[in-house]
Amino acid sequence: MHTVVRICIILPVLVGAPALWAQDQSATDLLREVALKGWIAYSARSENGTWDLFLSRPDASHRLNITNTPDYEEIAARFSPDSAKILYRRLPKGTPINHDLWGFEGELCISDSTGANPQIIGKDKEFPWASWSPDGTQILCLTRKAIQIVDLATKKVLREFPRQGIYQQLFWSPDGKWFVGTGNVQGKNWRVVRMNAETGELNVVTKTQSCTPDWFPDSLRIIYSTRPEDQKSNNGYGWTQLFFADGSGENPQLIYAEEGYHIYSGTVSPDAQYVLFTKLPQDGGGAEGSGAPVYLMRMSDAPTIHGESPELRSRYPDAKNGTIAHLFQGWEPCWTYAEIIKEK
Amino acid sequence: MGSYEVTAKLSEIRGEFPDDPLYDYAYVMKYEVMQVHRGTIDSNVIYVGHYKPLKPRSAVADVRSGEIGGNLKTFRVGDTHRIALEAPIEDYFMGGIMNPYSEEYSGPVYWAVWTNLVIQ
Repeated sequence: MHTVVRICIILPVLVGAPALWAQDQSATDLLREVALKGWIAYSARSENGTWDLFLSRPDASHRLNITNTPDYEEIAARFSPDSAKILYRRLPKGTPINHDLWGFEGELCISDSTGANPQIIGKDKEFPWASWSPDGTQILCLTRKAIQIVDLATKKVLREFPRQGIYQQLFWSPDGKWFVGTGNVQGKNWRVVRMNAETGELNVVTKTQSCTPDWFPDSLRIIYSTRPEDQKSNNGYGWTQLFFADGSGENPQLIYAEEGYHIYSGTVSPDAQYVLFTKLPQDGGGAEGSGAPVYLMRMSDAPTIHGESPELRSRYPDAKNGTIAHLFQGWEPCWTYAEIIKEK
Repeated sequence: MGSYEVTAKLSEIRGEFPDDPLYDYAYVMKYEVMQVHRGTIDSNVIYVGHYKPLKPRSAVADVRSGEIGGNLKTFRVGDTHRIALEAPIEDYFMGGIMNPYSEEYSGPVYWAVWTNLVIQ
């Protein structure tokens, strides 16, 4: 019997539905609602102290360590468009994970989405910020020289675009028409920008300092974290908030914010009905430590503000008090509705 | 190291360097060129991006910047620096760039590879 299958039979007994503990009824209901909606892949520290990749059900049950390598740090798993594979980076044990530099570091790896059959795709620091093409046969990379589209089979560069100031977190839209990344615009850094994948034409998505953009499944909207510069709370530093906007930059809307916490790692479910994010009192998302608590929320509850949050509530007077459910400690989650592990 | 090398006076630091150790950036400063040692620089005024300007040049290099350095410890307006440069900055540095001159100057911004203080 294959190891992964054997683990799956035992694990529901061992770790079934742990996130139901100590949460209020509305959070418990939310967790039950998503329990069978596929799998979440995420990075977290394992018992051996290194970062490993994990799978769990969206209610945080059935947690599986799918790399379990004490000699390496594995981070930033992303499902391929068909959910058959995951792409991630692997670094030597003990390498600090920097929240802004991780895409430059380590080896690019691709494995089955269960973690089986890991393949090292490039040398250390090769294929920086690699992410999937819409059909999963290519990767999009962000090098100092240019944005590059690389064929996975031959590892040849098929197309190149000038970076135009984009310097990290580059992702290809599911419809193949756009790239989104974080870059410099008109003398300002930390702006989310969208690039036309055919012409290379750039448009600004955010006018406040923002980062960690990612696509909605419709390729029309972008989720990102932003920390508007005009906040007074937190000694003027402010708090990082989770937003989404049209790819054109129009219709920016708050998803979740809470004074006392910085919100990062935003990603939406495959049907855009739910959103995952992390919240941590320290800025940066927790990559340098042990990640951050990952939360789940319904998109229909956006905009939601928790806590007293007087400045945020003044800024967003129509915000709701939507339900959020704590899942686990982690970083950079990614969600598929595919049944990548067959349970009995 | 560096396609250009100049001795130049730091004539202006516009604004303040953000003191945020969590987010690294290059900050663009204005120089008056006193002498060109290597390469061709036609203007008497150049704009130079320095990485992590709050730190001594000997302690700023990382995976984002590549090999940079020098003996300068602090940026002070009026000081003279001998600087090795590359241009444009975007070809040599992939990170956040704060450029307070972006609305009035659209020419090349140089990237400081190493920066030494000139004792006069």
